[in-house]
Amino acid sequence: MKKLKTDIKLWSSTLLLGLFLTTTIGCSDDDDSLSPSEVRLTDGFVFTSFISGSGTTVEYFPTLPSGIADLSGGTTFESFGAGSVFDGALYGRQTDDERTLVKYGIDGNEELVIDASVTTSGQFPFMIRVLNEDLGVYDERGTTPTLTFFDPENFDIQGSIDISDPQIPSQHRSQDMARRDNILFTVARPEAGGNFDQVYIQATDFESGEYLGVTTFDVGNRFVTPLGINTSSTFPNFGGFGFQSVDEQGNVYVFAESDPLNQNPISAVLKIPAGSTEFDPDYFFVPALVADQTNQFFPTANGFFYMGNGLAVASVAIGTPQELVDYVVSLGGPQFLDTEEEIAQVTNILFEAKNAQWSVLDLVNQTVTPITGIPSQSPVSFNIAVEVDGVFYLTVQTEEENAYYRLDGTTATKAFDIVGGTIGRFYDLSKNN
Amino acid sequence: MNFKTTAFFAVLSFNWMISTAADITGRVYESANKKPLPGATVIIQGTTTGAVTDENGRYIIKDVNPGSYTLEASSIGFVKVTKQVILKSTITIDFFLEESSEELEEIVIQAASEATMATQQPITVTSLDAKLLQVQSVSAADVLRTSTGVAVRRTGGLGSDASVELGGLSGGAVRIFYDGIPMEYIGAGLDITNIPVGMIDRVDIYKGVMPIDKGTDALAGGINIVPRNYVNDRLEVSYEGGSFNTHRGTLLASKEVNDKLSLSFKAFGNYSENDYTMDGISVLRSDTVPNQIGNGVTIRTEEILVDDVRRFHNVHESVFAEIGVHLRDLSWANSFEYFINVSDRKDEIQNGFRITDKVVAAAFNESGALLQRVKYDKTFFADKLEVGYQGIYIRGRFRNRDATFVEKNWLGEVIRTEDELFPELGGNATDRDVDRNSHVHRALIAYNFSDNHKLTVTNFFAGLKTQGSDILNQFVNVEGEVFDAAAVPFLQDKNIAGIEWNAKWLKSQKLNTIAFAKHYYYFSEGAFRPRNTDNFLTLPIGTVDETATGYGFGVKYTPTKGLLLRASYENAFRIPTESETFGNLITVQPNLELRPEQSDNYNLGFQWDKRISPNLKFRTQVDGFVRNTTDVIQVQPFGVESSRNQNAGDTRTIGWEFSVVVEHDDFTRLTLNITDQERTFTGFPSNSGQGVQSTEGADFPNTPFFFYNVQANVGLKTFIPKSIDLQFFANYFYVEQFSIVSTLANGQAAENTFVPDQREMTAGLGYATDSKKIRISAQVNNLLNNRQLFDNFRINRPGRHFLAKIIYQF
Repeated sequence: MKKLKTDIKLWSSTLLLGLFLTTTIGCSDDDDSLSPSEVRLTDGFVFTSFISGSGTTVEYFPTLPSGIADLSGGTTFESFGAGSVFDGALYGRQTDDERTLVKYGIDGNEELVIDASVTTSGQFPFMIRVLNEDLGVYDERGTTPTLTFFDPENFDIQGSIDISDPQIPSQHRSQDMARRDNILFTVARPEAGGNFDQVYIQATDFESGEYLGVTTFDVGNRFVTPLGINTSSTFPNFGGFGFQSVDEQGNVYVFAESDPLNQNPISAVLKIPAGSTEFDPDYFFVPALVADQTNQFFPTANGFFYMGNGLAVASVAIGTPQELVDYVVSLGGPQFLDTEEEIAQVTNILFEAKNAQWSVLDLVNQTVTPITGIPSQSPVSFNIAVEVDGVFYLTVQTEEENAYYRLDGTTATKAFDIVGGTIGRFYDLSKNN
Repeated sequence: MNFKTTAFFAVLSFNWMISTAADITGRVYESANKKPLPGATVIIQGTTTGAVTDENGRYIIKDVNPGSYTLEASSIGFVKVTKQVILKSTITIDFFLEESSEELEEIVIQAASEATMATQQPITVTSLDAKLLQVQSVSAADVLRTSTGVAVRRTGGLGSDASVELGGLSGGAVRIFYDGIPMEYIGAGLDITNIPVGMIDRVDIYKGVMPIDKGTDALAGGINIVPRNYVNDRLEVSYEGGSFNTHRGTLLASKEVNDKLSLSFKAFGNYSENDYTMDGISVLRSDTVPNQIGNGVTIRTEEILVDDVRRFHNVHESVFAEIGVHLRDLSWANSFEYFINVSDRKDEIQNGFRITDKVVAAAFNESGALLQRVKYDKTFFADKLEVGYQGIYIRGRFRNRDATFVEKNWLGEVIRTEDELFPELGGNATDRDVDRNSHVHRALIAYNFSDNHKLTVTNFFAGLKTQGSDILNQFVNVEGEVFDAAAVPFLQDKNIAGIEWNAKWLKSQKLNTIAFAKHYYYFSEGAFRPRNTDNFLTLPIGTVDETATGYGFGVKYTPTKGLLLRASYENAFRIPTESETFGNLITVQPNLELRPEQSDNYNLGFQWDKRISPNLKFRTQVDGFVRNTTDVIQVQPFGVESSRNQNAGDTRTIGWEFSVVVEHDDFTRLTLNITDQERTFTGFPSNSGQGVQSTEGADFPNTPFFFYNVQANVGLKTFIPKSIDLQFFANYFYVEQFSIVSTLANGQAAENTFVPDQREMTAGLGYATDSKKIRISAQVNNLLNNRQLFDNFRINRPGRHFLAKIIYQF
């Protein structure tokens, strides 16, 4: 009986203690805790995947996948792309609104949510960057070319700078932006679609609120390959142009990629020297020709990304596919490549070719070192490089694999395969811009 | 009776007794239009001997002993006709049946015989009898919605754009015909959104397989709108009016000049302001804020949500008029018809692909056409050889203007003004005004080797030329020369030749097979936007010249009366359109390498008609289908910030359709149509160049997968005095929510990509006078006042609204 009483006391005490602890814990400081929908994750990775036909799938991963990144469980939006990542937030166009820019967060349910937005005057706003915790900038399209500044917290408008410039031949807009201290360098593109035949980089001082002017570089028309073949660069793309395009000394590197689907396009690295807002007319680095002097046709590259210490990576067309050489020669040269059927034929050859190789570019010495351990691919395949904690990840897209490779010096090894969706960009939430 | 008389009859009787049995043959026609009436019954009164007319209205009662008989020809919806005959040897007796004056209230499960016959082919055909809907205020697009397998997605009120999906495929995959003419050649002046039901006899829907004498390059099948054609003395006018200042009128007139010549006239007009209200609309307002960074004015645009926003730039107006001359029973033609018609149309545009905060307040489309058409048919050698031709010549015009100096919000307030014209819909300001002329020819030669075997050869040719100007969208080359791409002729020729063998097998022709092959040829030539608009010397012009060959077969088996089993297959093609090949001169680049879409279409189904009791009958139809489609054409990103149409991949569509009609002869008819389907990606083209595309299994975007409709027509005679002829009708449509984006195998579509569940109900009352000369109806559309009704992506449709209609037949 005594034991029974002791047991009852013990059990009663245990129950009371449990009840007390439960009540205390349940009513104490966790009253202030956030629900999952209120939580905002500030690290982890957001992967995107373009779906043939429509939409972009977005999926969050707490850590960088290893082996396989399965995107098949993602959420598909009409569109998604972020121009900037800052303090764990992604800034880009609203997935279902042509004229609204938004600040996205990833909530505790690992879902993409909108935390703030701004309606722009024009439509299809594209270029948006956060400069610091107090200031962001976007390009106002469809109106007078304007850089509009906002508070990244809530999108309150702070002011604007008119960057319209009569030296640029038609109504234009800004595709992307690099920053050197208080100067913003923006790439001009025609507002109504199409492309300019020269590279136009505008400079704006956002501290003084002053537009500084434009510098131009005629990539295609001035350049003839060592064997006397004309090149063109009428559709300049600017892959990799962004905040990371400025080196430690303040040189701004501009990668004039060209449209690969054109008459003998050429891809060149250009430079705006430190302290200047004008192109260095003598700096003209064509990686495909450096890698192979006989690369007469389509000396292109893509996926350019500045890594630091004067080094960049890019997927470089090394050697011209013999089928393409034969075809262009049969026409009498690339200057005779002008009908849509002929360009389509070239496109088909390039789609099937595997002459592009990820390479390390020494921007100072203008050398090209092919990266080993990574498959070669089509020179027109989608390519990007992403930095995570100082390590660079490079896309590989072939008929055999969809994968990101990890770069180590001039060697790469596979980091993870992308399955369940096509390969796309991923964003590191812990890294600003 | 004297001896001579007795002897005479005895001899006569003996002669009859020794005479060889003879056949009674002939044709049954609709009296109103002198067209053959398929499915009519001709019997010898007092016997069970008889025959049913075939698709040409022809019947034959074989091996009848000589004698005197009364023949009776009948068809549901028509007045019965009897004729006395004395049969000595094979004779030909034709019948002309008048439409029943009670056609509109008489509820029939197998309504017009042509519609019924159409559904009894080896290939899968649904035929909708528009007569049953003529008291309602609807258009051709609304008629289509009452079928299985067809999703019609509207973008607003009267005249608004509509896209038709058939068997999970849509856009150019579904060809629409008006009396056998491909609609794309007729021009926008006449389309399914503005043809009133009063102008339509029936709508035939060919699912997956198209007969060679009807089809062109349809991938998913086709829809043929058969107009009402009368050639007897007749005059019918109708008017309907309703909410949103909507007015519609039709006129059908015909005069039988003599037994070989008739004249006809038909016309309709539509007008609607379509100024209905919408909820939850983003209204933009702009103001200025202090510029703390640079100089000048800084604009801030704000967005507020407003209910009951009224559309203000949404007027639709269209007119159509046609004169017809009808000749028949001539030495050189069984039938020869000539038509000339004019159509004109204008549509204001107030939104693009969806309702957003961006308002379209100035853009509009205008179109018109003058169309001439001849139809000829003649049979030779005792109807064994059939020859037919239809030719159309169309002079059309199309104008699209998308340019403004001011931007307005949904309240009509100006929120932005520019010095230069800018577009509201596209990428460039445009004012494209083009002539669009075409000629279409369809010829047919068929030979009936016997009652059971028929060989048919057809050829379809269509030529199209589009040329005009676009004063706002021109290019200037390096030498300062101005190029207007719209001034360069766009040319397209299509030729489709077909051969078909139709055979009937087994006793009583229980087994019916068809086998056919089609050869496609197409040529097109057109200009497109220069790749570099700042540095070019000539405007690029491309040509495409391709051929393809398709084939198919169908089998129908009727084991017992009322039961029909069938299976069919077609290897079908769809030729790329002008804009798919040559782009849009703005952001969509040309793709001259674009291949036709191709599809292996399989159909399997059964149909069962049963009379349960003298007054109660039903029909049920179940069809399953598979569409393995390759080289699906879709707009894909191409280069920097531009796109082009590409053969984006392969898909598989699997679905089934269920339809049941229950009808009580006296007072009611209930119809239920259910469609359930899925379409997924199955593969990608080998020349994508973009590496592995591992989205296999992803849903195809923007496709309704499950939908049904219920229709009820209830005659109220049973419940009220018979002198009051009232009819109640109600239609309910449901479409399960679907997303406009693809979703991966284990993923989901974002919430804001869904078109939500759609529930729409229409109900009304019809009244007819004793003489049936006047019919009046009133109906409520969107009876449930569903304010979230969008059957295209996020484009609000009208809330509850009212229409009234009066039809007067002289």
